[in-house]
Order: sequence, then C-alpha cells, then structure tokens
Amino acid sequence: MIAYITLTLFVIALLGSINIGIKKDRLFSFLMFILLCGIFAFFGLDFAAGKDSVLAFVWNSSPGGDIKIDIISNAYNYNLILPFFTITMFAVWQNIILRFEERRSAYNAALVFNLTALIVMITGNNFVQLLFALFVIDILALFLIKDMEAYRRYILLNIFADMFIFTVMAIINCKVDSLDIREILRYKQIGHHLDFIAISGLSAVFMKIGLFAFHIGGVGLQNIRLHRLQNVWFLSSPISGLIMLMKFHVLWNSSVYFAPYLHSICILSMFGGFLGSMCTKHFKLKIIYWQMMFGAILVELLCFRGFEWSKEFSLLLLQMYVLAEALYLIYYYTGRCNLIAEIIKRHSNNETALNMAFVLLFLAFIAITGTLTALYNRGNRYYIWTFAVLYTISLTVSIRQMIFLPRSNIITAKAPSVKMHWILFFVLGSLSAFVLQPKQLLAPAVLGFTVAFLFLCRYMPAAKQIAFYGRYKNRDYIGMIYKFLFIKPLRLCGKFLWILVDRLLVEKIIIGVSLTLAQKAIVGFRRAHQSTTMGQLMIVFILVGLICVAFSYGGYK
Amino acid sequence: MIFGLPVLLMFLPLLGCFFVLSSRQNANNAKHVTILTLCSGILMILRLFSELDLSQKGMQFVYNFDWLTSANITLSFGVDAFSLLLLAGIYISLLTAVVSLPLQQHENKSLLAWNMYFLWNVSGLLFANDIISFYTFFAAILLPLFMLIGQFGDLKKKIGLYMFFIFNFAGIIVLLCAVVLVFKYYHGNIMLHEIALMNMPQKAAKAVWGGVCLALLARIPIWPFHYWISSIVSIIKNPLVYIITMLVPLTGLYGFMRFWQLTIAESVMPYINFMAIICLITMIFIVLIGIAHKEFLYKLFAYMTVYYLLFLLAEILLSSILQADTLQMNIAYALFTFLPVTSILIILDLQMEKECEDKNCDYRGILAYMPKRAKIFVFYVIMALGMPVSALFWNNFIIVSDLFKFSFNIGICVMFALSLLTISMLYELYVMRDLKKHISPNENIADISNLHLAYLAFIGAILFLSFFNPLWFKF
Repeated sequence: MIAYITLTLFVIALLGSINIGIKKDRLFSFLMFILLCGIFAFFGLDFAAGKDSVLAFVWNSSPGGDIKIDIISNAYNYNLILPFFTITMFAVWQNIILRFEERRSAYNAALVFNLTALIVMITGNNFVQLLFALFVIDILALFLIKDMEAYRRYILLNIFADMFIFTVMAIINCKVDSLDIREILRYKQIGHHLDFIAISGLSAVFMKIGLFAFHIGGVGLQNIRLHRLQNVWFLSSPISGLIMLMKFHVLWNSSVYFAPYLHSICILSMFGGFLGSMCTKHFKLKIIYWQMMFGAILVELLCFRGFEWSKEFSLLLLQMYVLAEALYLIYYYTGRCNLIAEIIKRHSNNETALNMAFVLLFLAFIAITGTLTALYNRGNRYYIWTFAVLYTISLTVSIRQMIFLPRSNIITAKAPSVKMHWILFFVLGSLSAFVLQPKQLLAPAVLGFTVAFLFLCRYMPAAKQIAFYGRYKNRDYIGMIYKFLFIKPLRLCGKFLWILVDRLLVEKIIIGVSLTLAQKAIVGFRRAHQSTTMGQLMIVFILVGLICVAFSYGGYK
Repeated sequence: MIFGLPVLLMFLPLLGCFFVLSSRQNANNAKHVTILTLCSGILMILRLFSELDLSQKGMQFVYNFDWLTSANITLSFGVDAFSLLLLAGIYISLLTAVVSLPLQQHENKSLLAWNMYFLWNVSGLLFANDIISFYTFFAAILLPLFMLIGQFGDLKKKIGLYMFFIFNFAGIIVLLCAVVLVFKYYHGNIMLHEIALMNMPQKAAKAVWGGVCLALLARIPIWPFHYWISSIVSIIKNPLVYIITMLVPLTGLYGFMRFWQLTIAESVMPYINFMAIICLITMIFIVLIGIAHKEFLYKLFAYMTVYYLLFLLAEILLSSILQADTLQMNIAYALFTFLPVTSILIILDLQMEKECEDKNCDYRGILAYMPKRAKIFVFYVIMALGMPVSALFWNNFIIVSDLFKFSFNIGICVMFALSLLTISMLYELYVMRDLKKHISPNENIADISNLHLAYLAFIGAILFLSFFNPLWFKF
C-alpha cells in the first residue's frame, strides 16, 4: 500500500537527516540504501498484486471543505511512481559509490524527502495537499542544488510558477467551493476565466519544466555539480510541473488557447534546445538543452495520449535517465571538465570506462528511439520526427567531438586516473537492458536511426563546429528580455513612486505645505494677539464671522 | 477562578510594569522581571484557551464593571479565540524582542517599563467589549508609543515623531467624536458588536462610521497616510521599539474586526469599494517601493504593510459574504504566525545591521559569514512568505480564494502584490547570502549564540506545529 510506503520513506528520510559523524556517514547512508531497496521490493510486490486502496484522513477543516490527505494506491499511481522511485534509488546508490557529497546521508535524506513529496503529490486529490507537496519539492530543490549563485533564477522562476498555480487553485476553489481536485470538472461547467486559468497554469508548468522562454532558471544551473543537475531535472520541480499538467489538463484544455500555446512552446523548446546545444561548448549546458528538448517531447507525447501516464512514459523517463547517466560517466571519467573540447584529450587514462559509457549512451539512444516508435501515431508524428532528428544530430555532433575530433589546437591535459566502478556499470547496464524493448528494436525507424547515429558519429563534420563556438558568445538573450521587459520597468516604477510620490508629493508637498501653513497660522495669531490696531480688527472680523456662521447654520431662528 | 483570569491577564503587564520600575539597578533585573511577566502571560493565555468553548460565538468569560450607573456606563471585558490568538502572537513577539535586546539595553528600566505599559494597553484593547473601554485603550496606546519612539527610537529629526503623534492624535479625536455621537443616540455605553446594528439618523450614522473608519485607518499605513509609519520605521534601530511600532496597525485592523463583527454598517456600504481600491493601490505601491529599496528592513516593512492590508481587505470585503467568525479565525490563525515571524525577522536583521556597524563591514552578503543565523533566517523568511511550514500557508490560500470569490480583479491584484513581495524578499535574501556581494570580508563577524538559536528554533517549532493544527496547544 502506497500510504505505508510513503510513511516509511518519510521516517527513513527523517533518520537520514540526523547529523552524525563523517565516519559513520558512509555506513549510515548504505543502511539507508538497503532500507530503500527493501521498501522498493515491497512496492514492486504491491504493484504486482494490483490491489486498490485508499488512505484518507481529515487533516483540517475549513468552510471550503475538509483538507484531506489522500494516499490512493492504484495501478496508475504505482506506474507513475515507479520511475521516480527507481531514479531516487539509483541516485542514492550512486551517491554512496561515487562519494558526491561530504554528508551523503543528508543528501540522500533530501532525495528521499523529495520522493515522499512526489508521492504525496501524485496520490493526492486535494488542492492544499498538492500545493503543499509542490512547495516542499521547491524548497527541497534548494538543498539539492546547494549553490547560491545557481539557484537564484531557478528558485525565483519556480516561486513565480508556484504563485501562478496558487492563483489558479484559489480561483477554482472560490467558484466550486471545494478543495477536491475532482471538482474541477464542475468549474469547467461554470466556466469563468478559463483562458486565464489555462494560460497561467500552463505557464507555471513550462516554468517548472524549463521549456523555451522559461528556461533561464534551468540554464542558471550550468555551474552546479552534474549529479545535482540531473537529480533536480529527473526528480524535482520539472516532474512536479508534469504532474500538475496531468492533474489539471481536464480543465485547462477547455480553453481555446491551450493547444496552440502548448504546441508552440514545445516546438520552440525543441528548436531552441537544439540550437542551444549545438552552439554551446559547455558540456553541462548542452545537457540542460537536451533536457529541455526531452521535456518538450514528453509534454507533447502526453498531450497526444490524453495526459494519461502509461508504461511507455515510465520507460521513456528511465531510458532518458540512463542516457543522462552515461553522459555523467563520460564527464566523471574525463576529470569533470566543463568544456567539450577538453573532454577528448582526457581519454587516455580511463579508456575502458569511457568506452563503456559510450556503449551505454548508444544503448540508451536505441531504447529511446524504440519507445518513441511505440508512442508514434498520426497525431504526434511530426513532433516525434522533429525531436528524433534534432536530438540525433545534436547528440551525435557532441559524441563526434568527444571521440573523433582532431586533437590539435586543444588543451592537452590528461584526466586523473579514476577508479573503475564495475558495479556501477553493471547496474546501469542492467537498467538499460530492462528499459530496452526487444520488440521495438527491429522497427524500421529504430534501425534507421541506429544507422544514422553510427554514421553521424563517425562522419559528422564536427571540427568546424568548434570554430563556431568561438563566435558564439553564450549571451543570455532570454534573461536580457526578462530584465528589460519586467525587472527594469518594475524597479523604475518603484523608484518613480518612491521619489515622486513618497518624497516629493507626500513629504515635500503635503506635509511640507501643512507645516508651513501651520507655522504661518501660528505667526498670524501671535501677531493678532499683539496690541496693534490691525490685530484687533482681525480678531473682531473672525469673531463676527463665527457669529454669522453660528447664526445661519446653528439651528436657531 | 477562570472568570478572574482574563482580568488578571489584562492587568498583568501593568503589574509587570510596576515591578520593572521597582526592580533594583542591576544589569539584568528589569529584563528578568519582564521575561517572567511575559512568560506568565503566555501560560495564562494557554490556560484560557483550555477553558475556551470554540463552538460558542462572541466574547466569553465576560466581566462587567459598573463604572457610572447614573450615565448608564458599564465597562465590559471578555475574550474569544480571536483576541486570545492575537494576544498570544503579541506576547511571543515581545518576548522574542526582549530576549534579543542588546546588552546595553538590558538594564534600561524605562524601555522595559514602557514596553509593559504598552502591552497593558494592547491587552485592554483586545479584551474591551464595549465602546468606551475600547476607546480608552485605543487612545492610551499613543502615550507609550510616543515615549518609546521619542526616547529609544534614535530619531535624528524630531519632526517625524511630532507628525506621528499629531496624526494619531487626530485619529483619537475623530474616534472620540464618533463615540460621543454613539453615546448620544444609545444613551449609554454600547457593546462593540452592536454598534453596526444600531439605529441612527442617516447623517449621524455617516458621521459615526466615517469617524470610526478614519480613526482606525489612521493606524494602518494606507496610502497616502502611510508616511507617518514609513518615515519612523526607516530610522528606528531598536528592535523592541520597531516591533512595538509595527504592532500599531494591528490595533486599527482589530478595530475593524470588532466593529464589524456581525455586519457592516449600512451607511458605509457605498464606500467599501472605494476603501478596497485604496487598499489595493497601497499594496501595489508599497510593494513596488519595496522592490526599489535595497534594505531588507524596508522590504520587511512592505511585507508587513501588504499583509495588514490583505487582512483589512478580507475583513471589509468578505464579512458581507462569509460568516464573520470563520473569516476572523482564518485571519487570527494567519496573524498568530505573522506577528512572531515578522518580529523575529526584524530582530535578526537589526542585529546584523548592528554587527556590520560595529565591525565596519558590508551588510550585503553578510549571511555568508553566519551559517547558524543564515539557517534560521532562511527558515523564517520561508515561513513569512507563506510556504507550507506554518498556518500562514493554507490560511493565505483560503483568504485569497475568498477574495477571488468576491472579485476576480481584486484577487488578481492581491496575487500580483504577493508575488512581487515574495520575489523581492527572496532576492534580497539571496543578496544577503551571496558572498560576492560582501565587498570587505570580515571573518570576525559574530554568529548567533547557541542559546538564542535554540530559542528561535523553539518558536519556529511552535509555529510549525500550527501548520498541522492552528490551535494545537488547546487541550
């Protein structure tokens, strides 16, 4: 039952976050992994048993309805949780093996907390529960990123997205008077501000996934450690964005703007990701752009499947993860250099590991192509073709550069010899074998793309591209647009109000004039009190005036 | 015994004030007496909560005192969950401020005595059930405020203080006129919740409600009258005085809640939308100015103003469409978290400013040198922004959702202000943590002490539990 699994995961995460000594940390994190394996086994058994159950309890009550915590166990939710559970397990395990973090158990705890929040989000049917999980995932993303400079834009954009989702939920709640997400269909019938809700909601999802025009947050992560980048993408805010899309699409797609907005951003993301990955020499940035392309195709495929998660999507996500892991291994065994041109020169000491990583990459690529073939239909064919072609070209150009590029005019520096982690390759190999679908491998499209992949890897004119990198200044154009369209005007507006209204109007004019008038009045009355003829005349006039007013309006006849 | 407890709780700060004044000239004596009084007050509040019947509407444990029988003036005091929650929030805020006072101010009896005197007035205001006692305490608050700001506010230009006094005094005079008019038509003292139901000639009703609204609005930093408070708070460097000053708008907000407990007077109905528009303009205005300012303290001021105005907006707009007690409880739950959280942020920020001043180093990026302070600061900023770590989270959701129910445009404006506020505070937090912004590094910057950290973590835990159940301490 998912509820017990969630609770156990939460307890494990709590235990993992206890600050213990560095010496015991490795043992502690290993124990944590063993426990996770046990829970995963239970999860698998429950999944296979296929029993549906619900754990629901009222957390709090409000006039808008009870705030319930629902943990619904059914095949759909199991299927949706499976890839994230697998990826979390692998991330925890990799953290133990490769010693990413100083405090491994704390990082693992953050990952497990994140998984718990994801499960709460997936299984929940209540606005407050969803929002709670959404915010928690964003807060945990800070721990996963752990880099001040990097998460500045990422977190700001995500907070904006959260605010959009908050607004959407508040509007729905105010109309249907219920916190239950299943009531959104009733809102559809009421139909107030549907376009606003759809556009805001979709924008929030795009911000979370990091699609084109909203990718500045993701691009900002280029300087964090690669394993963190991958964990954020596969487990954190982008996934929460996808889940939101799946939960709310029923309402959002009733707007006429839904489909055009979604398709245009997805297409732009594919092309933007392709151009970005081709133009940058920064290895991590390439990965970020590839992930943007992948996010776009995932959203498109979900759209054409009615936003219903299926086994194919779980497979696709896992295959993508294997591909990302293969890229990580290339990065790891070439001394973690950031520039793609440097990677080539760093082969020599870890040749075996790198060759295996490339094989893994190749396998993942075939697996992805296979799954895309399985998901192919008349509706989404153009999107799949576009993605497959762009992705293949972009990936092969990079591989070509990393393996076959002429080694002249490139910095010569050997990578330090790194311990060969056979067990890591074994597990990743097993995972890739698991995600490979033999039936699909013989499809003509898969064979075609496999041949194209191999051909392009060998004969793509990649050397010229290095020269292109030099001309590309890696300018953050989207960031500049944001700055000039939103940030600067807001700041200017604030300064204008502060100086013109606060200082000039209120302080100088209203208060200044009142003070001057008060001073003048005091001086005037002082003078009037002096025994001068004019003063006495003035007092007499004022008093006569007062008597006249009292006589006229005082109610006497 | 329980019926005497509210009165005892009301007069406890006054008792504390006398004890503080009579304490020996010792480094910590006055401070210890103050802390003891505040802790006793919190225990009494908890005891009252345990006896409170939440299903019952209106004031409970009512205590009536015949003051002038010939003039039909009976003073009435009582408590309900709403006033007790606010009082609990105020007690925690002041306790935190006193605990965190700088060393040189520990022995300042005058500061602590005025603080207790202020608390007595606020307690009286929250317990007041009739218009005369409400007016008395509403007016009396001005004296300790004037003394505290004047003596300990470090104001270089006294003009700000005089403007503050004159502005608030004008509010008091206007309220007095309204009270006198009510007295004339009712022929005696009247309970607060009955005023809105009272029959008065149209012109008199307009004069009464106009006066009440003006007097209460004078306490809330609403545009263009926000100047009195913004000019004061930008100068005050004493955390206790700052927190007390920032509690002033609460008295105005509370007044609206009490006067319109059952219904809004018909004579003000046509002007409600006008008030709402001014509230919204002020919210956006303050947020934008907050963005332009670089000091975290000003952003915090903007944050507090926006939240006070949000609650005011909810009260004036929603009390006609929602059950007033439900709305009030939502606001009270939110305020119970809001008050201590903002106080703690004020204290932490002022302490950092002081540290920078003493060590002659930059303020921006300073949190990078203070790991413990950074953790607690981030936690409280997250809490303040309505993230799911306190009752503020889902009460915000309910309040905003209800505002959307009233008007879509108003809801959008509120969300716009809240979003900008969140972004502005988060960005400032980033700047404060960014090492690169710290131009002249100084590694001798003192971090928060373990004891202080433990205290703040304890308060954080109390507020965190309110996320699961806002009244978790009621047994």
